[in-house]
Amino acid sequence: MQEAFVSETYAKRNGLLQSPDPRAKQISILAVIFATSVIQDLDVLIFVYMLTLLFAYLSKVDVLFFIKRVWLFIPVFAGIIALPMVFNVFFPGDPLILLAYLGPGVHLGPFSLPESIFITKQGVNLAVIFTMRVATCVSAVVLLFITTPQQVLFKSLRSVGVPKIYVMTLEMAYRYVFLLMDMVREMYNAKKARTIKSRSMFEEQKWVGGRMGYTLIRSIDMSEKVHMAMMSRGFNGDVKVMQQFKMKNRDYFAVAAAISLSVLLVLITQGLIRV
Amino acid sequence: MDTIFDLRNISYSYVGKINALKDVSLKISRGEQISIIGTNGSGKSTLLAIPNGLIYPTSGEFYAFDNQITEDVFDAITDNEFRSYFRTKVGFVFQNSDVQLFSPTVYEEIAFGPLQLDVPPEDVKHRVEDVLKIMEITKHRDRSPHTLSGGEKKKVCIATVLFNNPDVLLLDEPTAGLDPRTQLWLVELLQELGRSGKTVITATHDL
Repeated sequence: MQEAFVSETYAKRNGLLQSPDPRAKQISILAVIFATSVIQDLDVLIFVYMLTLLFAYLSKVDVLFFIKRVWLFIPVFAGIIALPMVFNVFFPGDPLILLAYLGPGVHLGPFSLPESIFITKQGVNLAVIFTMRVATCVSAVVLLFITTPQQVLFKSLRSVGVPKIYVMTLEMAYRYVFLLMDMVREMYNAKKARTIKSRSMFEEQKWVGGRMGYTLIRSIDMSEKVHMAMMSRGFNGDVKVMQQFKMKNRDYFAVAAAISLSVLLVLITQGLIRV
Repeated sequence: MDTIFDLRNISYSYVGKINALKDVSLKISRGEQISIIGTNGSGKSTLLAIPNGLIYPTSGEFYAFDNQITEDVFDAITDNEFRSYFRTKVGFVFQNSDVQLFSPTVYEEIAFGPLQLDVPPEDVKHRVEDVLKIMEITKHRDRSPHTLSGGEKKKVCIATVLFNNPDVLLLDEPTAGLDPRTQLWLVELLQELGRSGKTVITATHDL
C-alpha cells in the first residue's frame, strides 16, 4: 500500500516519461519489450537495461528505488528458473567451475549422472542472458507503472483494444482493494488488541480461514451496494465513459522512435546489422 | 402540492424471510422536507431505497411522478426514457460514502452520472468544473476517493448527485461519521436546498 503511494508521487513529478500520452508510452514500451524478448546478445541487453535506468533518472525516479524494485523479484522468479541451466547435469557445456567428481557410472534412480558435476560456461552465459532479459523487460514495465497514475494507465488499456467494461472493472478493483486491505488490517489489529496469550498454529490458521470467508462476504455485499450506487446514477449495464486523451506530435514521435529502436535491436540480434 | 412519491401498502422482506417493512403507506409531495427517524435496523435504509428504485417492494405498489415503478420496466437493459428522467430528477446519497465513490478520481466520479444519462461530454466537462467550485473541492479534482477524509468524501458524494440539479434528494444517514463542523455545513446545505424548493428526504437517527 505504501509502495502504491510512493509510486503515485513519482507519477505526479514533472519528468521525461510523465508527460507523454499514456497510450504512446504503452505502445512504445510494448515495442521495446518485444524487441528485448528476442535479443540474444548480452551487451545489447545491458545497453537496453542502461537505457531504462537513464529514462528512470530523466523521469525523476529515484534510480536506487527503481533498481531495488526490479531486482527484488528477479532472483525469486527468473533466478530459480535459470539456475538449473548452469549445471552440466541439465545442459552440457565446457567446464567453468568443478563442483564434485562422482566417478564413472553413477546413477540417481533411473538417471545416469556424468563423471563430474560442474558449472558450464555456456550455461552461465544463458542464465545471465535470461535473467538480464527478464530484468530489462520488468524494468520497462515498472517504468511505465511508476511514471503513469494508475487510473490513467488503466484507461490507456482501451487504446490497445481492451473493452471498456474490463477496464472499468480493473479500475474499480484497484480502487476497492485499498478499502478491503484496510478492513483486513483492522480485523488483524482488533484480534491483536484482544490476544492475551499466543495460540497454536492450527487456531491461527482457523482464524485466518474464517477472516478470508468474512472478507469475501463483505466484498460481495459491498459490490451489490456499489452496483446500486451505479444504478441510482443512471447505469443500466452499458457503461459510458469520457475519452480524455489527446495525442500530440511529440507522442507520435516518441512511438516512432521506440518502434525504430525496437526494429534496430531485432536487426542487430539477428546479425543483419553489425555494431 | 403535487405528489411525487406514492407508496401504497409496501412490504419488503430480505430473502423472503426477514421482514424489513410491513404494510407501509406514504405520500411525499413536491418541496417537502421529511426525516425518517428510527433505531438501527428499523428499516430506514430499506424504506429510502424503494423511492430510488434500487429495490422493489415484495408486496404493495410504488408510484413515482405518476408512473408505477416495477422491476420489469425499471431494470431492463434497454434504454428507457422514464428511467433516465427519474434518475435525473432523483439523487441518492448513500450512508457509506465508499460505496458511492467507485471511480478512480473525484472528477470522473462527478462525471459518471451525467455520462450515463447521455449528457454531451463537452457539457459534462464544463459542469463538473462548476460543481467542483460550488462544493469547494476543486483541489481534490484528480485525487482518488480512497485518499479523501470522511467529510471530503461526503462532499464529493453530494456533488455527484447535485450535478443534475435533481428535484428530489434522498439521504441515508448523511451525518454519520462526520465531525461537528462538517455536520453543520451539511445541515445548512440541506436547509438551503429545501428553501430552493427541493424535496429532501433524510433517513437518520441523529437528532
